[in-house]
Amino acid sequence: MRGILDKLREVGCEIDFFSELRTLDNAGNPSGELMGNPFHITFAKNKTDQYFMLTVAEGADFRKAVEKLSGVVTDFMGAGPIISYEEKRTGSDYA
Amino acid sequence: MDPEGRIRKIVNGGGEFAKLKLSNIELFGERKLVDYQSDAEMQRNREIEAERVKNARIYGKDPGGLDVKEIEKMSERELFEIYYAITYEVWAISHHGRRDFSNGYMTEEEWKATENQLSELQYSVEYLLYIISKRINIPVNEPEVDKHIRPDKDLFMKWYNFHEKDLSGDWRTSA
Repeated sequence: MRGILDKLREVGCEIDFFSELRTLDNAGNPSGELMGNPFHITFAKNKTDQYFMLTVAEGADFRKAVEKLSGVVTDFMGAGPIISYEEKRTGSDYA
Repeated sequence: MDPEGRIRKIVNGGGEFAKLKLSNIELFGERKLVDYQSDAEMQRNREIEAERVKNARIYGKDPGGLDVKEIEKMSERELFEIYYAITYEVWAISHHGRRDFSNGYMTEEEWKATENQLSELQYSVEYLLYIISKRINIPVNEPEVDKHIRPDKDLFMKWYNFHEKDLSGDWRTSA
């Protein structure tokens, strides 16, 4: 089975170098960009924990990018999403 | 990770979601939004968030494990050295921790303790970022609840690189 990074690259994602170092087959935090849309992933896929959280920041062709990334997630986890939402920070973490 | 608990948090603004404004929440499969929504839970989450903000530790103001009096006495060079040492420590703990946890050499409890240690160190790092930025007179945001310290990146890196190039090999490895 190919890892998540290969699957992301296959749909055209550019992966941040340092996030590659933080990503293994069974857990990690890959981040990068797809069609001008920055994204961040947190996932685990092992005996005790199985989850996948995908965050995509809005850029050009946002919907198309989300669709492609969601396809990767479904393919990788073998199951579709359970919840999706749009978020805007109120008391932002970052200045 | 408890998916049902997470959905309740998302829908009712609990935990980290209290800081976010969510819209267009959509559940998939058999799940229905109305089964998770609770006015009482939303109200409780708002109260918890208000209390959290009141008592929050503030990046740039909270020194973490650093001795404020010692920091105040430090020269610019000493500030660089302590900043370098702490950021190296953060990198090492994070790198080795993630590797060991992912490979099963670290228990869940040990990983949580490591994350707590990293959170504590983050206060020290951002306290130093703020103090250094003020000392060398570069633009930096004022400490505020839920905001990280972000100095002018180019100016800060110019200062960092100026000091970093003088580090000897011995000092680097002993940091």
